[in-house]
Amino acid sequence: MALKNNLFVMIVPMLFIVFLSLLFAALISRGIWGRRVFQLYLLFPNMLGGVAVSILWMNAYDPKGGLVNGAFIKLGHLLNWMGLSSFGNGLMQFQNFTWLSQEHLYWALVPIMVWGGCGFYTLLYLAAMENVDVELYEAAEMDGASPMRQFFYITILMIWDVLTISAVFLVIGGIKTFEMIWLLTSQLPTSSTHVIGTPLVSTMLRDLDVGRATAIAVVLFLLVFVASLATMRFMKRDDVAI
Amino acid sequence: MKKARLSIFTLVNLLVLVGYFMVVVFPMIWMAYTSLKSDQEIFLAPFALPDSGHLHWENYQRAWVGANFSQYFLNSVVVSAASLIGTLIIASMAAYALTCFRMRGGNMILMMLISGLMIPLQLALVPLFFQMRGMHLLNSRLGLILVYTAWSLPFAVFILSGFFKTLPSSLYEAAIMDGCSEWRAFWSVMLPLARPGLITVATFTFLGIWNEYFMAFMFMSGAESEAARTLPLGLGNISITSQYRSEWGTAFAGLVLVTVPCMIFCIALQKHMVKGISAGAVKG
Repeated sequence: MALKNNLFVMIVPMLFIVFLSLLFAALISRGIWGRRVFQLYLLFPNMLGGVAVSILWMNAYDPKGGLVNGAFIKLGHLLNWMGLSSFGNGLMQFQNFTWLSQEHLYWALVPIMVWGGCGFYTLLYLAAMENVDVELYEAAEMDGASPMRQFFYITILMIWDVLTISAVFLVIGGIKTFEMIWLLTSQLPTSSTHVIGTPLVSTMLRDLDVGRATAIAVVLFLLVFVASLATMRFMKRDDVAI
Repeated sequence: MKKARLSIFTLVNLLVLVGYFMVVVFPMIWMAYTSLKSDQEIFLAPFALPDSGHLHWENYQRAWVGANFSQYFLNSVVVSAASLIGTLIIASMAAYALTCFRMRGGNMILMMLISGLMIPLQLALVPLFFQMRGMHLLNSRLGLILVYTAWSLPFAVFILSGFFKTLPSSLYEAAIMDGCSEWRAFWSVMLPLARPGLITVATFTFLGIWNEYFMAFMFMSGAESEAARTLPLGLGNISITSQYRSEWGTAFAGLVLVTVPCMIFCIALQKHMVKGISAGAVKG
């Protein structure tokens, strides 16, 4: 079960973060007004760190006084008022929804991780995109390629290395998830909410079973090793001829 | 990079980015003003601004005194500053020596240092725990400082060696020709040139240590560790107790106390940081 949870936090947030960061980086790199401002705020969530992010979101997800349900209900009222009651009433059902209960916890984690991770990776991709040779785009333009095609056939190919590295980092980061689960379950994860990192700590500090804790750590290491190899292999691709 | 041609496209583009901006920034603004509301106000109207005639500054007092944040704050400052200075000194010297001098096995040492980036922390945890217990460094600030310094080194060496590699060796030779000692060539010539790298490393090391929870939690678990605990631990505890006693105001005040120093540090170094990320990402 812990393994399954771990696979989830390794892969699902990674997909979201890579996709969204790429989108944001592409949008910003098209040279729009206010680029400086965007660069400044992108790193805001990174300054908070795991504990603060977990606690902020724990409050935001609170069924009664939380930000998320409050926003959904406000939006529901708005949609009802606009006459879209089928959507509106759907959102209204989120009243008192317990995001952090056992069965919803892992899906509730995805927005937290995306919120926390996107900024940094957007900056990373942006930096990589800036290094792509402008002549390539000019040549493509001459040949009549649309901006969409330019993006898919030039930008993505040229920054593929950075994409690979970021995916590996995100997968490894996902394996090592600890404090979010630990804090969001009030330091008492149950067997259905464990990731590999959490039973390691509880066997070590609560049960004082060192042998078992070491065994868990070794499993974790193997997982990191296999996952990084797999990600690299998966994203490996012949070098682009320029 | 390119000029946007279609104005509709530009508009949608801007809307998406502003939407993202709201999603990123609003929770933080919400955190700041919610810390001034009473618990009841937080529950009844989560979005409303606090009553301006009746701001609840006592949330901060409860966090600072009641939840012992004054002690944690001091510990965090001491631990972060000491580890940061240690990391910067050791890493800059190591990276300089390993990239600028030709020596046998130098490259291998560098690779070994950097491969520390790949090893998950949890793997080292159990042996480290016993090592620290043997050296009586559990539940002490010194122990935490040593662990944090060692833990920050791979990343720091990785970034700094990238910077030293780009410096032309003729600069070093010129300094020696002009009669600099080895030490001065490093300290007055090479190190200032690597300043952007140093700033990047300092920022990320500081952020990592200031917010570090996992190791602090493991090595500060004893009952006698109260006096040595850092802010993330205090914040973790406050979140647990606030759930039972529904003292959300205190939790929010604690959040602000942890976040603000980080914000100040980062905004002060913001310009260099973006540059550093770009440089590190491209040079690798």
